[in-house]
Amino acid sequence: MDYGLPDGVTLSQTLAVLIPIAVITVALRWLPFAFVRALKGNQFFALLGLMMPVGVMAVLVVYTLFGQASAPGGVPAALIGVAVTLGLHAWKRDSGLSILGGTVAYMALVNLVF
Amino acid sequence: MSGSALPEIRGGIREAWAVALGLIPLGLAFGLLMTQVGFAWWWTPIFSIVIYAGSMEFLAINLVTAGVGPVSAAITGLMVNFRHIFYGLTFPRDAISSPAGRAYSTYSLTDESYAIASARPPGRISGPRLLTIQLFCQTMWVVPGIVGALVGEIIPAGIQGMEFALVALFVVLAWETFQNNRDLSLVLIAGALAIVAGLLVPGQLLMVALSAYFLILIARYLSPRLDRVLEWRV
Repeated sequence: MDYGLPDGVTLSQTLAVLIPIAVITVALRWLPFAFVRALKGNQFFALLGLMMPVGVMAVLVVYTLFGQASAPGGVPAALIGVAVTLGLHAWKRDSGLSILGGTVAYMALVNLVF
Repeated sequence: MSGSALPEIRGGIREAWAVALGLIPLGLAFGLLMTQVGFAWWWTPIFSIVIYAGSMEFLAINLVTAGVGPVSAAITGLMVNFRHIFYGLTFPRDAISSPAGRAYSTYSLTDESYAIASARPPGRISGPRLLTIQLFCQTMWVVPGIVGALVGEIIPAGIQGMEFALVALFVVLAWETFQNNRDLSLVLIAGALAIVAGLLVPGQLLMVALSAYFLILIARYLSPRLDRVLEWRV
């Protein structure tokens, strides 16, 4: 049967990612309603809330960059794309513009230059 | 539905409009990427309904094609979506009376619906209005996703580099989250852990780096002295 998946990807492999993430995400959204008292004012959770997001995003930037290493242009092209994205974001701070601009710059590099 | 619900629905759409417009380009990009990677178009709404968390859905494309296991996926989901644990503390879900409505409200408590509910002027929000805001946000994410996926099925797959949108997305999110806590040590430690994990255990980068980062945060909580040594405010 054809499940409409990319070559080499199985249905069980897809569900093994989607279902755990779905359960965890809904659990995180539900927990505070059930445990308001335990979570409100808890210092440890407050610290995690303050320190976790930026670190997680930094890990994700590196993770996605590793994924680009095998693409044409490799790491140098990807780093130029990151620089364009950061530059646009520092200038206008418009997320849509920064993502679009960085991606277009990267695509121009790998399709036309490298 | 009572006669008073209609103005509330209109009001909800009006309140959600600006944020929902911002979702359209990202939704289009998500759908486009899905079909360019090789998923049939209808997988896009499945991803967006089963997971319904934008950046996590983009990341799930990578996780699925890389073939990571359920434990790795769960840890990644926990770390990436951890921020959601705070939203319910102040989200006005009690305004909704029906159990099904409350369940939907919990499931669809995204960054965007939280932001809209938090930014509105003080005063009670009605249940129908809150549900409208959340349903409207999800519609404005799922429908552009489908459109993007259908467009992606027509354009040739030979164009390379579209997947860089994911790198750019996380660069922007890293910048924005850094503005909330300008401690440079967090970025440097997390980045270094990820690079080391990527070089030593390439297949397990996310799980190893995220778990190690989590342990360091616990250590910083347990030892205020360590926390002071590491902290680097800019």
